[in-house]
Amino acid sequence: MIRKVVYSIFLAIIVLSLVLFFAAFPFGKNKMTVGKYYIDHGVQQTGAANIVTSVVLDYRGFDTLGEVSVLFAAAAGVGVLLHMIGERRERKVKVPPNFVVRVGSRIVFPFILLFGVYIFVHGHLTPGGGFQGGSIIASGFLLLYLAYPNYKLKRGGLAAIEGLAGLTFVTLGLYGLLTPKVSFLYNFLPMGVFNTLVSAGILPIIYVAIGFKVASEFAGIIDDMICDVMCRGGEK
Amino acid sequence: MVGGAHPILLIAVPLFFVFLIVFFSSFFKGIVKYLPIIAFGINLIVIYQLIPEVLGKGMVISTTAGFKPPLAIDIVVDRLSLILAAIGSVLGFLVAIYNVSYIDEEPQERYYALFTLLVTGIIWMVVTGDIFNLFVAFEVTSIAAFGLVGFHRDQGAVEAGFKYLVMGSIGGGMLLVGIIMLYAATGTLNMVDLAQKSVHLTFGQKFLAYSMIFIGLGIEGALFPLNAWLPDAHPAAPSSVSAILSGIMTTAAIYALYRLTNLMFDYKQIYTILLFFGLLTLIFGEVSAYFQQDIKRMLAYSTIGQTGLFFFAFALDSANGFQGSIMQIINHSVSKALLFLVTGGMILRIGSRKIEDFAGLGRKMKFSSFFLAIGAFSLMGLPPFFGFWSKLKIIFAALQNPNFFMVASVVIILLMSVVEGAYFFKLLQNMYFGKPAENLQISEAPAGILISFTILGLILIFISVYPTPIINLTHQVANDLMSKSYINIALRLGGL
Repeated sequence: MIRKVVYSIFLAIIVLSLVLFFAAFPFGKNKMTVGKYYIDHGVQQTGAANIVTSVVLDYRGFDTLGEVSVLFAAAAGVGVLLHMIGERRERKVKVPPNFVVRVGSRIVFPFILLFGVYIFVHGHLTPGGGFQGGSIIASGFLLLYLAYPNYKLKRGGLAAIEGLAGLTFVTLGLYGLLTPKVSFLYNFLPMGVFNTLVSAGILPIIYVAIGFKVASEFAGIIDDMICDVMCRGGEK
Repeated sequence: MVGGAHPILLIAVPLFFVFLIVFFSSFFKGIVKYLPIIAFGINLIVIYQLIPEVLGKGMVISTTAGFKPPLAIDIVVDRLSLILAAIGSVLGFLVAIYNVSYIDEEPQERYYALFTLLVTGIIWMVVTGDIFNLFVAFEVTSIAAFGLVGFHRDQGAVEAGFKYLVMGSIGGGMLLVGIIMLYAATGTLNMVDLAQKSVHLTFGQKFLAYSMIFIGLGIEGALFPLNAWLPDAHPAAPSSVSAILSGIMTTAAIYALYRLTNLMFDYKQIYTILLFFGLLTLIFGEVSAYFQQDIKRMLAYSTIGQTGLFFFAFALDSANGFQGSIMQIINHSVSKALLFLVTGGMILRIGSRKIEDFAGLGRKMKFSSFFLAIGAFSLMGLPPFFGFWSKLKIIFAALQNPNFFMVASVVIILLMSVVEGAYFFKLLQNMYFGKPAENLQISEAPAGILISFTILGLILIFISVYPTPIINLTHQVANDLMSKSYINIALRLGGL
């Protein structure tokens, strides 16, 4: 009881101070110096029709490299904690998936893949991008895992895709140091024709790499976690 | 900048190797354990190239995406960042050698990838010039650390990892809220730009943002009421990871606090509050360390105590205080990493973490025991070791303005040094004069472990015998912090 009162008092102090602080700074008024610049110049300078992408991948692309690493660290951490050896990885199913699920997932799966690819290939033109597209693709694999108890992704192949995608991102960044601008992640390719698929220089390549990376990482997490739940007793 | 050293390589090259490890893990697993050594070896070369430039100009700036800050993120290496990045790279390199003989548990490829990512994140935290990028680096570091703390997968490790996960996530959230507040108030994320624009904020507004940032970084930096995760997490991790966590990760979070406090929250009131946090952390850490039976737990509590000490010195807000603080950081990083690496080798041989089981090791593992003694002496601050000079500097700094509170603080610091001496001498006495329980044949640690801690021990001996360059360098760093030259030099070099 006393604990709850103390917690509530602390929470009230935090909420009150936040409210007081943000009341002094109305959202988006006069203060958005950098944000205003992105809105005014982003399209010409980066060639990306999706202004969010121009910020996320170009101006602040280095943060995105960090976010990719964060996701990688999370996936690898899950892999460390749920690591199982050999025969313990056999899944056992109490109620086998029925006919509708099995056939339905086969029909839907290619469309999920296609949709995911569409999302990250058009990341620089329409809302969405590598993270979203990759998650959609991984959800397709989750469906296969649920519909086919014996379905198993090849982890070696996933790791190779994951590694290659990450290497592509870093190598593109490092190449920027060799250009006259001498800047990491410099957009050295030509901008192309605005609002077409091949435009905005290196941004679409990075989003495709992120798409593959996120898809393989999430598929790996699904593979790790589904075994934790469905393998023999779930023991480690 | 053409032809010069690129500070961005300190981050980009190890990241490249992280993904290379993942790529090779599927078909060429044998090479994976050697890749981190190459990655941090290259980092050492970059640091070596950076030294003359940073010492000459005071700072090296590297832009990203081809845009100038504050539009894009920049990497800023000044003298203080260089010291910490150098410690991070040296420890990363040596522990990478250590790993080769130490890690035989699966899944190895994930261990090596996460380990490389952890050290990269730490270096990233100290060289970034952008406050949101700092948050990203903070997340990279802590999420890599969560997985590594639980690497042994026994109950203690998983529990410690989970505790750390919960507290670290709360810390990350608080830090993010603080950054959002600063961004909402100024519309910029670049640290130099923020330092200039935040002068329009009132003290109350700054204080609110600062408390959020303080809680976030304080959890990671092991400051007293926020450090409940540390005494579980540091011992539960593999010893190689403990050396990184204790040696440089908590310090990197403390560095971020130093930098932000110095640039934006430079108020007497704030420094006074920090003094109390420093002292409380010192007392809590050292007194708890005295009662530990588990050697790694003892070292972890000692990390808390040492953090309190150098945080106290920083909060004195004087040139001498800053200098003492940075010197103590260098001393603590090197000695504590050395202690963790040596005890890791010993634990591997005797299979126990209890201090009583270390009896008689001084005669069995002569080499390891010698370096353990050196690390302990330097941490205690015995002359002629480097720790003596740094503690002396801190006490001088505190007595510069001898009022009642400062004298009382110095008495507490000396008292805590005695406590520290007591538990380290208890350990050493047990090792050299205690009777071993059984007459077991114990050989020296494996080659990789021996090589790495010998090099680290020699570095410690070298800076103890010849401390002048470091004293001069830290003196310059203290002047940099006092005059806030971070802003001026960055403006001059086009960092804005």
